[in-house]
Amino acid sequence: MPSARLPRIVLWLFCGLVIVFLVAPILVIVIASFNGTPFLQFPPASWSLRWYVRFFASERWYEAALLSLRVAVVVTIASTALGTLAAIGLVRGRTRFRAALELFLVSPMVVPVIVMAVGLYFLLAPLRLTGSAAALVLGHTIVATPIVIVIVAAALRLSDGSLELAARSLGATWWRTVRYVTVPQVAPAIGAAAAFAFLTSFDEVVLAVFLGGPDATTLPKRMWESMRFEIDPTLTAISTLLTVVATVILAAAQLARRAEERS
Amino acid sequence: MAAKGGALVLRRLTKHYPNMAAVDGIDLEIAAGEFLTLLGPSGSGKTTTLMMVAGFTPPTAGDVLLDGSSIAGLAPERRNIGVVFQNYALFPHMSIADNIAFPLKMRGMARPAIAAKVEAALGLVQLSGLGGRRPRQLSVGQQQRVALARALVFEPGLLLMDEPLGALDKKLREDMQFELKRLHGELGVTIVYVTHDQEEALTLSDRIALMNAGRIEQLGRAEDLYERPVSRFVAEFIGESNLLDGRVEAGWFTTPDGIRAPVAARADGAVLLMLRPEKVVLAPESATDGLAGTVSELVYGGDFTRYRVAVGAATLTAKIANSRAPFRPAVGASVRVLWHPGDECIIPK
Repeated sequence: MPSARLPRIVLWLFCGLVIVFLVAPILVIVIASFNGTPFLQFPPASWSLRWYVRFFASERWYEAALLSLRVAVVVTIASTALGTLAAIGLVRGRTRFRAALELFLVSPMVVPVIVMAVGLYFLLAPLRLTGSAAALVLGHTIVATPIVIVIVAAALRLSDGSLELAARSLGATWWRTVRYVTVPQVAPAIGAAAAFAFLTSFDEVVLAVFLGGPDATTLPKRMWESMRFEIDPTLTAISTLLTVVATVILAAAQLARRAEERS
Repeated sequence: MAAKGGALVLRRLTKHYPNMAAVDGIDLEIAAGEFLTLLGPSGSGKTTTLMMVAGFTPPTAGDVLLDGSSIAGLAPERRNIGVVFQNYALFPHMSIADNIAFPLKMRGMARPAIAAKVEAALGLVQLSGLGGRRPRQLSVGQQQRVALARALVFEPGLLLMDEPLGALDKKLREDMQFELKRLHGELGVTIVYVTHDQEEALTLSDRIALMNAGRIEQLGRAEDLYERPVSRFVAEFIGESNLLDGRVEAGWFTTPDGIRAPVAARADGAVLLMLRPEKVVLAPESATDGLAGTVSELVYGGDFTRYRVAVGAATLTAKIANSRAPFRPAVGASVRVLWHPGDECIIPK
């Protein structure tokens, strides 16, 4: 028996390690955020909510969070619309260059973000567009759109294309077919894609550092600066809140998907 | 819902793909109110033809005319043709009533009028009261009826059906065949029906176009195709057949391996002789005419028995009704194979 049991033990051990490494850093931050001492400390010597109070009381942090939210909302709308239309074109279109086009459209996913950031900086600087929310929206939309394309295209490939032919034969134009048949078919995937697009922008730091300039400072960029210059324990509270926001959004997307499947 | 049938004309209709001709210059005239079936094996081009008529596949060449005017350049939504798909293609996120209302909504009809039409369409396919359900809550047969109602509710002159009964079991398929015939008679709509099932084609159609390799092999009524096939392909595709290669000379048919039988007068030359198994008569060895043979196999089939008889190097199949068969030879028995003059069909080569 030991020979049969050993692989199973190794598997459990391996999976356990994976879970520990995935969850432990988050747990450390969450626990540290309830720290009562004035320094970053783990494990905390005393407990309090002071860093949360400080975050909500600070105008600097509040403004950064507001900018992040505004940018992320615009990016979500733009990249979901662009990505969904692109996915429909890629999956249902008749062009011969479909494969090449798809590779090209999702290429921002494989280009290192830092390369994209430097490139965009040199592109936008002469146009005096750096240091604005617009530059951030542009940069984040470039990174978020491929994610939407991949998710929506996967759902479209699984959906039944004859539904769209049926709609056309019943008198629906191409646009009305997209609106009444195609989009409702993949609505859960579009929802999930929107959630990922939102988080991609909301959590993004590299583009924010390069394109935000001194004026447009997002939450992750403010955190990065705070990390470099002061190691403010408020960071742990913000990190915890960001984690909660991300978890809630993804869980909501997942629940919406389940509800759709059941209806 | 009294639709008036539309007349459809296909003129040299062609679809070439890079290395094959899916449809190779088809000419076809379908009269208003006719039920025409495109029959053929898979890959014969029947579905491609249908998709070109519906407007989903652009033809390489040729024209499609509906009631005299060309529709080849029109988008599918502007052709006003009902289509029933193989998998029904009901919209799963809409109720049955909304599915049927869809074409009316797309045509900008007023709500009260839509409601009345949907109700009438549900009644027509005997699904009254099920409008509130979702497609997945219906049986396959009911979904089929909804697809039919949805394709007919906007009163198209032409209805295209792509293997619509393929997913149904035998009993349901027969019910739906009756239903289709009834609807066709009631509405007078022209139907172009695609199937690979010859029995379905024979039962339903006014005329059948048997397709092979992108061309129409034979066009005619069911009995034309069954009794007077023009080629080996037609004879083999429709029903069972005994086929013998040989020559006709002076009213006698002969094969290289020595079969010799009188046939209805025909021009001399190389021919294919086709004999349907149910036309074959078996007689005792003592009979004076007919071909001598030996029963090699028999299969009891309820209302008939199928005999396999070795005649020289050939094997002929005889399908004999059990109700009136005084002579029932066993396996190994020597028999005489004959048929009434004129029951054979001579296909010139």
